[in-house]
Amino acid sequence: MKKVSFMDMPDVPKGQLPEHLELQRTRVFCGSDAPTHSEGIQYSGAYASMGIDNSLRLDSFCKKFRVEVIQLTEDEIEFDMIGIDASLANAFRRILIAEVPTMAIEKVLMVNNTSVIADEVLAHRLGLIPLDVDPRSFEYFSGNDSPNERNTIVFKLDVSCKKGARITVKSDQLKWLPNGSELEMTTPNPSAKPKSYTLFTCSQASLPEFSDKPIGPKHQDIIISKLGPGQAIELEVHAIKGIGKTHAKWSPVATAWYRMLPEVVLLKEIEGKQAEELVQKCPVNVFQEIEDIGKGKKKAVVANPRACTLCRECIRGEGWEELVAVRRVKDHFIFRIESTGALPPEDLFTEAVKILEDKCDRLISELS
Amino acid sequence: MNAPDRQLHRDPNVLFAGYKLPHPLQYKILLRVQTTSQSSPMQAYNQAINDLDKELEILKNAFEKVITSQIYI
Repeated sequence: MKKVSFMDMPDVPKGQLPEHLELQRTRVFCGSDAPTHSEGIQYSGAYASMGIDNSLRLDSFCKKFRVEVIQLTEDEIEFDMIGIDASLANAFRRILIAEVPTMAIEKVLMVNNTSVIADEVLAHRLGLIPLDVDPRSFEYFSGNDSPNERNTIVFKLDVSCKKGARITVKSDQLKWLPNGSELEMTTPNPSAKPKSYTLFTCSQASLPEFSDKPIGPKHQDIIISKLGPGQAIELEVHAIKGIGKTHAKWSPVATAWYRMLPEVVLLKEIEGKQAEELVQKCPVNVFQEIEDIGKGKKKAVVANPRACTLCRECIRGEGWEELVAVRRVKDHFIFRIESTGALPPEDLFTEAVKILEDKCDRLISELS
Repeated sequence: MNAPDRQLHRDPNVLFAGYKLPHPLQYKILLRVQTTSQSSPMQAYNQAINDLDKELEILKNAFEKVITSQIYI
């Protein structure tokens, strides 16, 4: 018999990878015991022995890349990114959580606190309140410069509880002070003019960014503390710009996460009793039974693979792994961003991309 | 760091690319790149970063286009 190279066999497509290799390259296989082929194949010469070039260039990225928005609300976005690598998707996720800046309360000047909640605990609680202000209109506050209208936002909280009453202090009682701090520094020299904690040259309310939208907490009903009869809190807080890496209070997202698109394939026709069993097996209703008109029998189809949580319940038990394949598409990411309110979620993502671009630019300029 | 590493692997002239973090608390990364004689590690790295930058630009534009079309439906 004449020897034939496997590449010339009739069932191997010309110039392409054989079917099983292509599947291993583009899918993660979720077997009943463990996922396999989970690594991304990036190396340009991975299939060089078969004469197939695996090197990827910019033009092929342009051709393949696609975005689809699934859901967009005021503070949530879910979108599909198709044609990117896990390393890039993860870079975006990490930047969103730790490197996109927001404004948060950093300094608390305590004048009076007779409530049951200790000063430091109260200060920490105040720090975590999300502020409804665009951080792009502010600068970072560094140790050397004085707090001014471009880097600091000042609020005051002044509440007291009458005898015989009990009150709940909520975030809407934080009053924005557009003219800066109202407190005065104590100086050793009593004759000197007392200095304020901030040096505002003009009122923030007169700045065009804030004139029609006053600064305040995003949610008005966050409980700060509870006061008993005769208790009082008087304090002033200074909010500055920062990133989630320093402290989680600056993180602009409640959560940002992604998952790969699940793919469920029926390897054989599943009919009758077995179809019914399969539909019952899945806790998230990926499968559906439909009437097969030709045969007069019921047959199972994959109706909603996106809902699949990869619990692998469908391939549990003898013989099921030969009937159903559960896979994930390696370059299809379902991204979900939940904003804390400072920026709309779609802006958060573009900010994250900009930060990564900045990093690239910095690297380029530092290398050359 | 994974992103530039992946970008380097895509370059047919790169023979080896890898990075390591000698200590998790130190912000210092060692990157090793080995190339064929057609390229140089510096050239390959520069190109990888440039490509990544361009890729991000395209990605951002594509995303913004989809978002604006979403808002003005």
